[in-house]
Amino acid sequence: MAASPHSKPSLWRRMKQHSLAYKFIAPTVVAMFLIHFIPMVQGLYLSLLDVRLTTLTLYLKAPFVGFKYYREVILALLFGSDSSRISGMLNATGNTIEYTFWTNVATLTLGMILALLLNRKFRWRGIARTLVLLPWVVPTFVTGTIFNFIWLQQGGLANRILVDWLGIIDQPITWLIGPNSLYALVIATVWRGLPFATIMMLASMQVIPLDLYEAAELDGANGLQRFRYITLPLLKPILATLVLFGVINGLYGGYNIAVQMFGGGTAFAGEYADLLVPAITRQTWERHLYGFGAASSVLLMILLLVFVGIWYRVFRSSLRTEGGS
Amino acid sequence: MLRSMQRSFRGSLALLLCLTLLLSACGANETGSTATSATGGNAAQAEPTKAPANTEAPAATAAPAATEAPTEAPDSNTAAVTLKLWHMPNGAAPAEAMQKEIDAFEAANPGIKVEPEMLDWGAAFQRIQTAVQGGEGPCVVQLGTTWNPTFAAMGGLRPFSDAEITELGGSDSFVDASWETTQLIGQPGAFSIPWFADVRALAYRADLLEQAGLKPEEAFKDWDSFEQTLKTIQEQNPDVAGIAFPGRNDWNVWQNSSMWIWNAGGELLSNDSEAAFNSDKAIAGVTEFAKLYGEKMTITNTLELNSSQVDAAFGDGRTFSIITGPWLISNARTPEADGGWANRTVADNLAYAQFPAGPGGQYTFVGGSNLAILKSCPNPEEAFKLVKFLTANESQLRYTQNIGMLPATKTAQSDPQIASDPLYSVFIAAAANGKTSASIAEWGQIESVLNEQLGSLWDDVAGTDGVITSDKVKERLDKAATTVDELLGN
Amino acid sequence: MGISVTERTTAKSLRVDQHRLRRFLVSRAYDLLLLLIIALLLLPIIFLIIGSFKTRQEFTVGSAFWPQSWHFENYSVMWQRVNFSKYFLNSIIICSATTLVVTILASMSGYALARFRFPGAGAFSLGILGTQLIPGTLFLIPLYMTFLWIKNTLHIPLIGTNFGATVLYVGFFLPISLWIQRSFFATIPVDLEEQAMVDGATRFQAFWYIVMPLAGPGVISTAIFVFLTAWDELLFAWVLNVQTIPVGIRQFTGVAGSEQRYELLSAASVVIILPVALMFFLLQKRFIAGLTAGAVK
Repeated sequence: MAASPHSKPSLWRRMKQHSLAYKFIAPTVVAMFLIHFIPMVQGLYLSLLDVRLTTLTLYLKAPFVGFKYYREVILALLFGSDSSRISGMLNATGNTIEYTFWTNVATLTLGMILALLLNRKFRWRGIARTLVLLPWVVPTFVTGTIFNFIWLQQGGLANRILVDWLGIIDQPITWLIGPNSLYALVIATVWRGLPFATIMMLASMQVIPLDLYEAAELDGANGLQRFRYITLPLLKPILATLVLFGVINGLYGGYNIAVQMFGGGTAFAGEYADLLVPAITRQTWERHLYGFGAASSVLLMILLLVFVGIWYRVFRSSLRTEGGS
Repeated sequence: MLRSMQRSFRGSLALLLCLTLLLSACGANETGSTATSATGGNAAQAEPTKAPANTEAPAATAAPAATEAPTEAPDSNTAAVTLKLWHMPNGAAPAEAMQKEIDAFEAANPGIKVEPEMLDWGAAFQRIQTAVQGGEGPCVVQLGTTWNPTFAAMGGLRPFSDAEITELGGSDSFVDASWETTQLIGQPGAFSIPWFADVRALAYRADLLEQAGLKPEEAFKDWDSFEQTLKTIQEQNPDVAGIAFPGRNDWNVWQNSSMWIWNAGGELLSNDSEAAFNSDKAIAGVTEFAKLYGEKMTITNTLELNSSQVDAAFGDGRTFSIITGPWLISNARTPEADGGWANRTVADNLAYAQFPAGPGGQYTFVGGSNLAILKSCPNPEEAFKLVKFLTANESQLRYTQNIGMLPATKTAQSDPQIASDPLYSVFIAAAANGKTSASIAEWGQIESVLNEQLGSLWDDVAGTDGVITSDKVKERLDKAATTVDELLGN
Repeated sequence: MGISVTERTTAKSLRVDQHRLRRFLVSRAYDLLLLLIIALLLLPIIFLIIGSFKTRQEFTVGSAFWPQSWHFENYSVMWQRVNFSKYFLNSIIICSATTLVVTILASMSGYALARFRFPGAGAFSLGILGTQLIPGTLFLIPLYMTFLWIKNTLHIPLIGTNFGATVLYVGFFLPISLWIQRSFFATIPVDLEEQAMVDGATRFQAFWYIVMPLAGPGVISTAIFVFLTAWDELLFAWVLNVQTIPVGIRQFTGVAGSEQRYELLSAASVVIILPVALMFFLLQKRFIAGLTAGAVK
């Protein structure tokens, strides 16, 4: 911005003027093309081919099947499918959306509470802030491992706390199989993701000018009102960022935790908790249906784009104010 | 000024990049030669660059005397051939057990060095696939029996010639079910050689059975008597469940169910080309299996467990019987300090029985592992020597007992060490009635489909508190059949 | 406070006291709630650390919270059984190299994006955000095939090597890191550079000597982010046969007969957390400062 010229010279001149900028972004552009875009274009084409174990060596010269896989999925959406390859994918889509919803709601709500608690003046604040961040340094595949032990119905930590220590429930809950599997996955994800959300919100809270609160207090606003009319609106930009991250992580995530949490590496979490990325990975690397896997990935990307579109509509205003500041 | 500044920046950047490349190049070797140079702690093995990164450390602690001999041998013989061997974590102390065989082989074959690397089961398939496609990898590789046809179909395995098979003792010298797994349907010859067999049977507590006044021949005779036995045991021992087996969270989902399918008179595939596991007989078998949970004959949380946790539940005395393999024998004979069960009530009373016969017969699953030579191997003759050594009697007896599996050769199985052992003998008898997966390239995919639907069936069972009808089983198996037929191109 | 003299002020201070007392109690209640949440957050980690000293039997049975006796040897057994040093070293090399390269390149690109309104900047930003929207499963196979092709034809060992993994991760994390960096640069006042340039420094010198030192917290935040994410990557490392910790750790679990060694897995997990936790503790002050700065913008 500072370097931008006063008048509007020709494009070439402007480009020459910014030669340093181009040098600076050159490595990134190369990396983006090599690692992201060229492979993505190949992947898009791959989704139109019948590539499987026997034809993998042909790769892009494999038989062309066009939009076969997409048609299969859309037909299955409308009429259902007998093949577990496709119905499993649809089922995983439902689970993934549910997973994304719950992880986001829980992470943001708990993160907000935690950030509010940390955004007070108290003596052990520094230590508290550090301790809260600790789960974030635990790698996700370790998170999966830990929670495998925690969820065990007999002798697992969760049931020990709920049944033996607190006595909230009489019967131990089964987490690792059956309908609770998805929540087992959600809670593990929230545990890992909470610290980051908390710290980001805390950081935003700390730059809210205190006199705003003081003025509101003089006007007789209670704590809840102050939160509702001061804190929340000013947190909107960071909430927008966190929701976007949350949606991406929710739709594209869950693999590492699921692999370690259910069955030590089989990566099949059952129909209650099978997410899209594990499901696609299974179709690709266990069934060797590389073309179908690519098509499913494209559909997953479209699903994400839909969510990003919704996200943009919801948060458009707060994005604009952020951009203006 | 400007130029020189930029240049110095570029210079420092280039330096950093070089440094990074150097760092990464250090660890570039696929077998992890970095580790060899860096593991100062294992000084004993650090000298030869060829020292295997993987197995050295445990070997050093377990048998320091044994490792010294082979490290000196190649020094005197500079024209040594190095064979890379990929193996999986077999048994409780996988690296030590493998190193013992390698040491013995190297002592018998001066001039050949074996460089082992241990792969985990989760990554092994992928690594072998890359090795086959990338044309660079080990010479000798352990294959899960169900993988043999896949890699053979990909053209990555060097077939064994008739002369070589004769030299190994002929195909008749191997357990039949194991030998089947070396084939690829539609192509002649063997693509791998059976290494060890993993046979499944029922492990049970002899003391509890005796207290109940039951005889093993009667107690495990057929499905009815088996269920009766479990109920009797549970009535007499309130703290002990009848049986335990893993549900969805395990690698053995389809193996465990397949025995119920076979014993009910069903098949997994018909003519190796069409799904048959959704026949009425097969459905009856799986329903019978699920009934064990529904009628509360299992430990309460059995479905969330994996095989290892099930074994532990047995070792802890919480269950009367489990579906398992021969490895519990080595558990029972290993002292408690080393993680075994020796001197426990369970260990003293460990007994095995074949699976109860169903209306269709009395079969069991035979899996295990084979040894294959990759086509890209530059020293196939030496590689064959290694395969021959590992499938010969001496190594078979030692290695399989160390890892708790069954030898794959009939000679080794009939050795008194195995044959007259009351525990091992059950497996030998069971192996005679062994069944295994179809030798077709698509088996790996079929297995994945089966695991998915049978695994989900356990989810259904858990979700409905155990009440499972044959309709639900049929729904699952039909779904799997449709998918499998699709994979097979039907 | 409570030592006021006149009656009127006493009454007032009583009210104030009551108010303060209430505030004090509410505040302590909040403290308690916070303490409870922190305890819940830390419990899994504590459980893991305690578990790493149990025996295999205790683990699979899940019998007690505390081990019967403390098995410190789990750590040495773990280290030797799968030759953990190989995986550990590979991970350290890959993650350090990635972090170093990414941080440098992301600083440069992020600065360019924050400061220059060059033709194509919009498209470039869009491209960066676009990379974050591609699912890994879509370009995993093409990457695998490309790397395989490069290996087979150009003989550049990109598969199964630390070099290949570093190349991959640099490409992977560069766009998102540069996006984070950009927001930090945006918070640094332009005046400083302009002043320096008036004094005769080039744009590059201004960047290198004036801006970079100020961007410290941002750089550290990005570096930690990159290191943590690379440390955690399993899927690509697995498919490209890179021997990193997430891949190696799976040797502790497996199929029947190969005995799942949960106590060793736990010990390994603790060791895996240690370097990142250590780095985090050393840098956390600047890291949080960096996040704060980044969040403002």
